[in-house]
This record gives sequence, C-alpha cells and structure tokens, in this order.
Amino acid sequence: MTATTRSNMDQLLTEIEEIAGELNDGPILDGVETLREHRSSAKMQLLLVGTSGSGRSTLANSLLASFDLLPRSAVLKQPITLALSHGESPVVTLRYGDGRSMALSSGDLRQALLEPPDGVERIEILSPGDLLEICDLRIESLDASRENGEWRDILRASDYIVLVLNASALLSEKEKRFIRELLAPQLAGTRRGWERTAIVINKMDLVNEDEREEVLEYVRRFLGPFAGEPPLLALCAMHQSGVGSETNPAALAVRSLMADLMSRRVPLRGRAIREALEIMVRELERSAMTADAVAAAEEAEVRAAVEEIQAKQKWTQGRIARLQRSIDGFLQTVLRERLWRQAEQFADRLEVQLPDEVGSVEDLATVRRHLGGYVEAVWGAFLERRVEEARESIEQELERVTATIRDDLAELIGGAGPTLREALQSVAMEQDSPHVFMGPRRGKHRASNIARALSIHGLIMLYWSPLLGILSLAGGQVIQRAFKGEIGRANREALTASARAANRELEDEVKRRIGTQLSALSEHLQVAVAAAFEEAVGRITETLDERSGMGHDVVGRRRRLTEILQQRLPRVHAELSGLEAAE
Amino acid sequence: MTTLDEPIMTFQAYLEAGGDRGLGAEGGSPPYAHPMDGWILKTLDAMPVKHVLDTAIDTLISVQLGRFIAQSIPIDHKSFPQLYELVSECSERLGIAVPHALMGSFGGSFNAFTAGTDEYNFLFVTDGLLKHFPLPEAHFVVGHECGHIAAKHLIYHTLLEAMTDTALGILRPAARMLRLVAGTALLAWSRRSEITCDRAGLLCCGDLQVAERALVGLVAGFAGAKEVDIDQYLRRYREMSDYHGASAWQELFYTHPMIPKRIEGLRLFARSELYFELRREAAPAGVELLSRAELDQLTGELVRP
Repeated sequence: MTATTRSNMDQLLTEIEEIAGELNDGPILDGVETLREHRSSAKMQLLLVGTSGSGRSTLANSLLASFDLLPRSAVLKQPITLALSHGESPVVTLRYGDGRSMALSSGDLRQALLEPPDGVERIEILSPGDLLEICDLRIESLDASRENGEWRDILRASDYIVLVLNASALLSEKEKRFIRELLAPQLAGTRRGWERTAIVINKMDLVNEDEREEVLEYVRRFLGPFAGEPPLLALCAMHQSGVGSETNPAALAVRSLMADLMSRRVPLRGRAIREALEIMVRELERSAMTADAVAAAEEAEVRAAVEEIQAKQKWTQGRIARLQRSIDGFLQTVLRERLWRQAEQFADRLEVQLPDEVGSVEDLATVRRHLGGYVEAVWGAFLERRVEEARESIEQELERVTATIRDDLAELIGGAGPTLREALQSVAMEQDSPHVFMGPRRGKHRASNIARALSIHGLIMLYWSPLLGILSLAGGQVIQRAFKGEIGRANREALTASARAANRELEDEVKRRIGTQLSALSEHLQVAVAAAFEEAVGRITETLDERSGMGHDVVGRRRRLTEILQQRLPRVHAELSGLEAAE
Repeated sequence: MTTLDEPIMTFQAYLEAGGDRGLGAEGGSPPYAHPMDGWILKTLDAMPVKHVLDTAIDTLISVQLGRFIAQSIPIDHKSFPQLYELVSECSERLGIAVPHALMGSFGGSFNAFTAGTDEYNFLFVTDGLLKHFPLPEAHFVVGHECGHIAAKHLIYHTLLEAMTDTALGILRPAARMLRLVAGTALLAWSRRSEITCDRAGLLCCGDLQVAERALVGLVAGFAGAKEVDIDQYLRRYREMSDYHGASAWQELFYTHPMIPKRIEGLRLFARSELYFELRREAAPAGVELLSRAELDQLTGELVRP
C-alpha cells in the first residue's frame, strides 16, 4: 500500500466515521473501530477457520513449517481463539476476559487447548518463523458460540481467510451455514471478494481415492450459487507431518498458496479494507435515506403517526398472531405434509426396487452383511436432500413473512422491515443418517428345517454317540446341498422381507424426525416473528420520537442529510472506485 | 404435490463405494486383531466343520435362547435411544451390520455379551450395566461386544460355552478327554480374542481412560470405578501375582484374561502406530510409538498365563 493510498484510506475512514456519527449508526461506528485496529497492524491478517477436528492445527504447523508448534490431538480441543504472531522464541500467554494474562510454558499449551482455564478468552503465541514475520495468524473454531455480529467483525478484520473443511465429514450444517450466511454475504458484497479466500479440504486421505474428485465437485457445486470460486486445496493429514514434504504434492500446494499469498499481500490487504469500506458506504446510504424520509415528514404527520401506532396496539398484536399462524401452518401443514408424502413415495419406490437390489448381488453373506447399511445410506441421502430443500422453502417463506411485516409497517409509517433470516440461522436441522436394525428372518423351506434338525441332533449326539452324531451332521449337510438353490431363494426372499420392514421403519423414523423438527422450528420462528415485529415497531416509534425532538431544526437536519446523500457519500464512493482502479 | 424423480443409489453402487466396511475386513480378521486370534480363526474357518457348526449353533441358539431373546427388550431408536446410538456408531466404525441389541435382567450382574453365528447374532446388555455404567464406559463395552461380531468370534465362543458347560460332566471318558483338549485350546484362543475386542472397544470409544474405567468397573461392581486409582491397582496386582504365583495355572481355564492384563494390553495398543493409523489420527508429538511387531510381542508376553 503506497503512502498516498494509506493517507486516502485514513481520510475515508474518518469521513465514514463522521457520517455514521451524524446518522447515529452504532454498527458502522463499531465497524470503523475494528477497521482502525486492523489497519494499525503493519502485518497481513490471516484467518484459519474450521470446525474442531478439521485439522486446523496441523495445517497451521505446516504453514509455519514448525511441525510441533500446535499440538495435534486425538481429543477435540475447546473452541478458543488462537492468535499467533512473530517472536524470537516461543512464548505462550493466556488472555482472560477481565484483562488478566498468564504466561505458560509451550509444554502446557496442549492442556490449555484441551481444557482452557475458566475465563480465558484467547491464547496468544509468539513464535519464530518466516511466515509470522510478515503476517499474523488467527485460528478460530466454528464450534465457538459466537453471535453473527462477532463473526462479521472477525471476517472484516482479516485480509485473507482460509476455511478448513474435513473431507471425511464434508460440509456439515455448521460449515454450510458459515459459508452461506457469513462468508458469502461478506465476500459476495464486493466484486473480487472471493479472491481473499481459500478453501482447504483436509484429511483427504480418509476418503477413498476414487471418490476424491467427487468430494471436490461437491464443494464446487455447493459454492456455485454464491458465485464463489476460491482456490480449493485437497490435503492429506498424514502428509502434513513434514515427512516427504519436498516431493509431496499436498505440501507443495500449501507452499505455493502461501507464496502466492505473500506476493499479493499488499494489494490483498488494501482490497480487504477497501471492500469493508464499500459495504459500510452502502449501509450508510440506506441509513441516510431512511432518516431523510422520517425528517421529510411534517410535524403534524409525525404526531398523527405516533397516535396511530398507539391506537393500533391491538391491531399489531392481531397481525403478529396472524403471521405466527401463517408460519405454523406453513411449517406444520404445508411443508410437513409435502415432506411426509415425499418420504412415503420414496419408501414405496425403494420397496419396489429392493428385490432387484437383493438379487443383483450373488453372495448371500455379502447381502446379509451390507443390506441394512445400504437401506440406511439411501435414506440418509434422501433426508439430506430434503433438509436442503426444506431450508430453501423456509427461507422463501420467511422472505414472504418479512415482506408482509414491511407492508404492515408501511401502513403505519413506511418503516423499514426486519429480516428474519437470522432467526433461521440459529436453528440446525438434523440430517444425520437414521439407523435401523434389520430384523432376522429365516427362509421358509422344509428341507432347510430338516437339515437344521439333523444338525442339532448331530451336535448333541457327538457327546454320547459320536458315530451317530457325525452321520446326522453329514445328513444335514447332504440335504442342504441337495436343496441349495431352493434354500438360497427362500433366504433371499426372507432378507428382502427384512429389508422391506426396515425400509418402512425408516420411513416412520424420518417422518417422526421431520415432524419433531418442524414443530420445534415453528415455535422458534413464531417467537422470532413476534420479536421482529415488535422491534421494528419500537424502532419506528423511536425514530418518530427523534423526529419530534428535532423541532425547528428539521430544515437543518434535512440539509445535512441531503448533503450526505448527494455529496459526501458519492464522494466517498468515487474515491473508493478510484482506489480500486489503482489496484 | 412434489414428485420424486431422483434416482435411488443401487446396492451394487453402494458396495462399490465401500459399503459400510469401516474397519472391517472382507473375509479374514480385522486389522486390529491379535495375531494369534486371527491365525486360529483362519485355521478353524478352513476346516470343513465350520459350515456344519454354523447351522447347528444357529439352531442351538433358537432352541436354548429363543424365548429369552424374544422377551428381552430391544434397544432401538425408541427404547434406550442413546445406547442404540452407541451400538449404531460402533457398528459403523467396525464395519458390521447393526446387530440385534437387547437388554434385560440377567442374574443381577452388569455385563454385556454377544452370541450367535455369522447369519444371526445378538448383543445383550444387562440392566445393571445400563443403570450403573456412564455412557462413555458403555461405549467401550458395546464396542468390545461389536468387536466379537466384526472379528467373527461368535460361533466359536458359543461352541466354547457349550463345551465348558458343567452340565456335560456326565460324558463318556473319551468325550470328556476330547472336551478337555479342544476346550483348553479354545480357551487359549478365547483369551486372545478378548484382547482383539478390547482393542475394538478402544477404537470405538477413543479414550484410554474411559476404556480402563470400564474394565475396572467390571471388577469394582456396584462400588464403581471412580474411586479406584488404576495405576495403584495394577501395581498391587503385580505384587499379588508374584506372591500367589502358584495359582497362575488357573488362568489356563479362563475365557478372559485377567482385568489388569487387559488394561495393560490396552495401554500397549493405545501407544502403538496401529492405533493411530486405525483411528486416523495424527500421533502426539514426542511420543515414540510401538511398531506392529513390538506390539504383538509385548501383548503376547502379557496374555501368557
């Protein structure tokens, strides 16, 4: 970043802060603060984020070429922030939420990661190494219980983001939500956002070799709707231990990514800040327009609106109840019925298909061993697809409800509506494969029964009359061989019948899960709708009160807002575009 | 109404994709098996009696235990769902079909066992274990029992039970001799097979301390394992074994190795390359792991009476 660009950025940040201050926009003021802190560091800020067990520590060790800096553990570590920066020798410090700190020996790091003492907020590690001389590394866990706002701040303060996925448990609901609701909106809001991101698919060695391309394709397909094409790197956990890293393609890929990153660190850093500013400018435009609309209202109109809101308290409650009924009806009737019908159709189709499937495998022992797992697997895939579809349907429904609330509020006074997407974000829908026990059934064939009786007789007689015992056992075997075909067919039929019963059991289980989850989701969203509606009404009332408080200063206020909208924000916008062109 | 037109994966495609193989092996013993266990099983399986025994023992179980199984309470997603989750998880990891899991009262003890053949097998958990064992410990026990199914021990274990049945004391001398010789050999195999299954249990629960507590819990009974200092327990066992060395021969007639030996066996396994390879976990830094040969040698010495 050149000195001129840096000074321009400083000015832009100050201008945005002033505008946000005038508009009393708290979140933007917080954002400016975060960006200032971010800029105060001369180093590039690298974020490594993933679920516990995805191999972030192993990857970080690999990136830092220090193979035992961070402990790689069999036990899942606690989701705690790790901040690594450069130091002449390794130093580990625990930072507590109340400002205290405590130095640790590096040998105690493992224990601190497994069970951090109460109150510890983050662990800071100083370590020597080339990479840390030019960038700070932050490691975050998706399992940490953070508000979306906190995640946004973390993403905003990062120049480059590496999302680590575990190939053997790919794209869990938590990972999907992170990409869908935090990463993509943060990056897609800008033109070249995804250039600051890489996705590492770790532990690829846990996936069969012939399925690895499918794994990559699956991730690409998932990213498709977000128009994101970040570099995808497939790594093997075993290969990151340093052994053979000179020739190992995975280690070379990591090194090449890092080399590329380092060569582009200056423009990347500048772009990260500029993109964060662009998002803030758009937010400020919206905020200024709303404020202008309120200020434009005449004093009498404002008074009338306040009175109308007070008079419509009952009406508001009625609207909330109606929206709640609408959501409940959608989830517990429309969606549930649709999913149940689909489960029934699926069970019917599978039932028809099962005899052919059982017949397609010659070895009866293989059928017996794997049939239950097969039925579970196809139901698992069915459930996963339905959960994805259901989520989309629910999002559409929430958009509709949001629009209704906006219309209702517009009736009050053109107020800005809430967004309900966040309410859905906090709910995970279970899509783990259901399990089933395939009940044993015997093939009904007379020869089989006779052979069985002879075998048991032979086994008992071995003790008292070995000759008779051996004859009986041999007789049983002869009968079994003589009727092998018929007995085999009867056994196959019995297995098919078991699989059909398991199929129906899974249908019931899947329907039960759907019913329970939709019921819980309905309750959750009804509360969220009421809260959103009331919050929006509260916001309108607050704005109107503010407007009433302006008194004679309305003209001055409007002049300042017009200046913000027509001169100051367009100027900031133009300068940002100029910076982008200069990149 | 939405119609489903998406294709359903075929059984062949499922099998080609690896099925639910987990740590299981198509034929042969699983990779975590004690070598002697694998070798003896291979020998027994190669004998023509295997098929005969399969049918006979399947019938024997129906005759002897049919009513008991029928009236026991099934463990599934509706009854004891948490335990069922453990059974499902262990089955998946060890690469076996989810077994018929049952619970019931069984002589006031707390234990679990499996019986059956390759065709039909069941896993029984006693009420005592269900009530007194915390879930992580139960995970180890269930993993251990599923290990017997995965390693295909059941038919010979059931045979061993039949052969060592005291009710058979009225046999003719020749049959008694046969029973003594074959029974002792099978007992030697049985003790090694338990080592295999302890490893299966540890692979399932993934925590050595939990596995040790579960094993100690079998000795401590209702008093529970929490109060036991396991290192001290092992030290005392070694001292007492030296003092009462004259009774060591009795172990020849045990179906299971002594609990302290099983704990030592697990400790060896938990610091072996094999364990980390099978758990697909990176080994802790700075710890020297046992090679497969070292593990086999040390475990062999341990299991010997």
